[in-house]
Amino acid sequence: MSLFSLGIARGLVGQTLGMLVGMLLTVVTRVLLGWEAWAAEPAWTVGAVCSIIGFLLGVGALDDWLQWTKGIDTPLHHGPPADKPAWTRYFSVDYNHKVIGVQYTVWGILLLMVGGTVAMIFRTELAQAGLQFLGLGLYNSFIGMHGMIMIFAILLGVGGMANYLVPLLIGAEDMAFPRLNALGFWFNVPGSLLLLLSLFIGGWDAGWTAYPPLSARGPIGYQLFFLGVFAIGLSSIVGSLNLLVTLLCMRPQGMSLFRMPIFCWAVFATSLIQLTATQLIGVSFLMVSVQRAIGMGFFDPRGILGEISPLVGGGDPVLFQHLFWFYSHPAVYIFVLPGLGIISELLPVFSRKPLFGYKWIALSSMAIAIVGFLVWGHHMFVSGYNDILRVPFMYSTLLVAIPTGVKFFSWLGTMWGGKIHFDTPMLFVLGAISVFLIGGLSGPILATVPTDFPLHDSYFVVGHFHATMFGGFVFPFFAALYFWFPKVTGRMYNETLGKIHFFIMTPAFWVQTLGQMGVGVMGMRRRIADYDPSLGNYQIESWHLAVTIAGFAIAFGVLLMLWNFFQNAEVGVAAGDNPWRSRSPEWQIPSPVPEHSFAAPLRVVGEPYDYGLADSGYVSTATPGDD
Amino acid sequence: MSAIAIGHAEEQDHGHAHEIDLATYQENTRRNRLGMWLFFASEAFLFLALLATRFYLWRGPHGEIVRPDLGQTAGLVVTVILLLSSYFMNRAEVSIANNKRTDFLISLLITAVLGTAFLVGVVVWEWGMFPSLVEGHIKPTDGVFGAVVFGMTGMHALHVLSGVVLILNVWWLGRKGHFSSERHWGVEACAIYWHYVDLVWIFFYPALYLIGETIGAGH
Amino acid sequence: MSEHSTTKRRSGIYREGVLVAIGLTILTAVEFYIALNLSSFAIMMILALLKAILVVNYFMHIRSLWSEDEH
Repeated sequence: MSLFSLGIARGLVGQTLGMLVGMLLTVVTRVLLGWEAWAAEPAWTVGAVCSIIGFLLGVGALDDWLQWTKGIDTPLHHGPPADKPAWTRYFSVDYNHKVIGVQYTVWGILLLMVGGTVAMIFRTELAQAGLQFLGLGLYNSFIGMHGMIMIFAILLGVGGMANYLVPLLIGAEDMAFPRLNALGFWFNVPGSLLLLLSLFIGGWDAGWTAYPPLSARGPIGYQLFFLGVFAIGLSSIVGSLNLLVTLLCMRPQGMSLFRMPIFCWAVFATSLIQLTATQLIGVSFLMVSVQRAIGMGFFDPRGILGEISPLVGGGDPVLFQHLFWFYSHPAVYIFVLPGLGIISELLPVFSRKPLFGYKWIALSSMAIAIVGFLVWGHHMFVSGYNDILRVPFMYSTLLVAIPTGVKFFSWLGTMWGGKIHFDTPMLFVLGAISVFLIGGLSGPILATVPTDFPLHDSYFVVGHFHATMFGGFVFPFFAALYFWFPKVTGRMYNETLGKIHFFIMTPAFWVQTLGQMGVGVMGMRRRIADYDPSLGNYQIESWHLAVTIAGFAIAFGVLLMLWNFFQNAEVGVAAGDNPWRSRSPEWQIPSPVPEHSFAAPLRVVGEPYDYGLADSGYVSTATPGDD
Repeated sequence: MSAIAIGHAEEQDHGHAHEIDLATYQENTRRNRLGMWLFFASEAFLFLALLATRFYLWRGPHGEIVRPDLGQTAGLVVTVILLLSSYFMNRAEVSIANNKRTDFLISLLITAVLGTAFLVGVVVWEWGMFPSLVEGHIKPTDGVFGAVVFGMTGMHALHVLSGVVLILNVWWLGRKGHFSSERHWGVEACAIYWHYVDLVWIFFYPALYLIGETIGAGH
Repeated sequence: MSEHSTTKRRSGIYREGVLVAIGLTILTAVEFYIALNLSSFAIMMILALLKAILVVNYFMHIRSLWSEDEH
């Protein structure tokens, strides 16, 4: 078996070749136009576009469609490759949603580790006042890189959970469009590689938000960063489209929308945002990109004659912020809604009680998604936009607290009086609730105009955001990993190591997020490599040190978890089909899940969360003749 | 080449059109159709963002809506061409549904020709890509006016281009004997995509050419 | 559905396309005429919406999303 029988190896070769072809095209075009042959920025930009196509062609994600354009039908291939070892399917284009889910998750965890490493580097720099080892440009590139890589990682983690779980939860054999599903995953690989590559051709130093005019004038790295985001965005769009069609068209008889497992509602709401809002970050970055490339002055206030005057067509950088936040605020709900869905999904299993207020939770996800479209302006209170916009955006933002509060009370109601089992997944769910509470309570402070003014662009925002991301994504994601690990591998992880991971990570994270908020109140700005040690009555340095140590502790906890999984994936104790005594469909079939998941069409015979109700079931996987 | 040969062999084995029964085909078509419309919903946000950009940036000194003087002939002509192409696309789809293959193929070809005419109209006439033929009204570097005109027409032209490629692909497959009155999701997808492109222009045309007081682009 | 009514319906569909195209042309002409004489954002958008409804309803047959009967 040669290396090139792995799709990903062919993809990487394709990406390299695509890059070279794109650069060559640029040079040839420039020569034909009579311009100077080599210009770095166009060459890298066209090269990067071609490199994405090159990767997809190389890996084979477009094969079937190319056949279709010739009128050749391509039956869907099921099962592991016939002529290669079974593990190779994880490194090649595979159409099974369970394989794709694992691909998403693993690539997401890899990016999580890269992003975490970047964070550890600049956290070390910040542990002491003064500049130790990072230059200013590199520091700025690193903070943006940490942000964007983590966003990619989160989107991949969300995609992993949704792709693996949704068809299983609704008893479908696969997603509605398996080829599109595979394509959706493979967009991520060239996209994240371009993002990493951008660091080596100048980086990009305006932070992950890439506001013009800074991003319109910075190094070439921006173009690769934009293209990386396009690739991930395309993945988001096709992935969410697929999930929506799957959820709407492929539920079994008897599973009405309000009888779906609650995670499906979270995915439904998330997908609606992803499908639509993602276009906006694409278009805002595209505008900056063409402004850099051919001087289309969307955000350049100088206009035609080089004068700042509306009469001569001066652009407006504030427009970028509108377009950008129209995606990037709802994006926060893309990150957290699936996580909140995981919390709602796991709580009844470990409390052995029905989910409290199922419909309210389901509709609160939709409410968050819809209200999420109306709140983007709260990122722009100090941007200088029209004053009358501030108050409506403040109120719409505060409105988000209502559906979020519904979720919190429903979680409390679910746990209340339950027989709670404190297994590792449940611990992470509880950790998630505690952390998300910190994030949630620090939110209104930033949503309120007068308190946002002094705190805007300070580390308080950083602390708030990390709390929402950890509470809304990282903790639930880890809970999901522990919870479904036995289903994916058929083996049990080591419970003691899992608990140690939890008891290291949770307090460490509390220290980190409260520490970040603390230094923010003392006057620490975001995106500044150095600080005055006299801030906060000479206490800021020790606070920073505490945050850095907490960060390393979290990193250690994550490594512990990965080691735990790595150790037990092949040789751990056999877990059995349903170690958590869950009612959910995926636990009624063998572990690991067979190629076609369900042997017979699923029949819905009861409510999903009637835990503790004797003689009740949710689904029956037996054929009707059997019982 | 070998891959194509193998593909053809398979095709002969199974018979390409009747591999799955009609009920499955219709079920798949329903899913595909929903997927296509969700894709339109997604794209709508892209085009709405461009429209929002136009109405945000093209403002006079007192906040009134303005537009650059783009010349009305080019705009009206390409609009009518696109409208006509949409009619022929519809005709093609109705024809294949009634198994009138010749009518179907001719209508498709007319649609593709009109689509290409639209593209040429925009690129040569409006953009002035070939100044020796036609002097364009505006350059992409002409402040927000150039940026928005080229941004909107460019993004739309990209969709027209992909639509023309799709139509030609469907036409070529149709000539080879693909599609029937019962199984023509490929034609339908191509048709509704083309109408969608037309739909976008229905909003872009007044936004670019008709709404607001004209203001000199600064020349 | 009998053979007769099917053919009737089909020729009806052909005529429908022509009628919609004529409607779109008229609306475009009205749009152009109004724009030359008075420039109103609201009227323009209403006319564009009317055209959009024609296209979405008849050319793109949006009803086929939820109705089995539509083509």
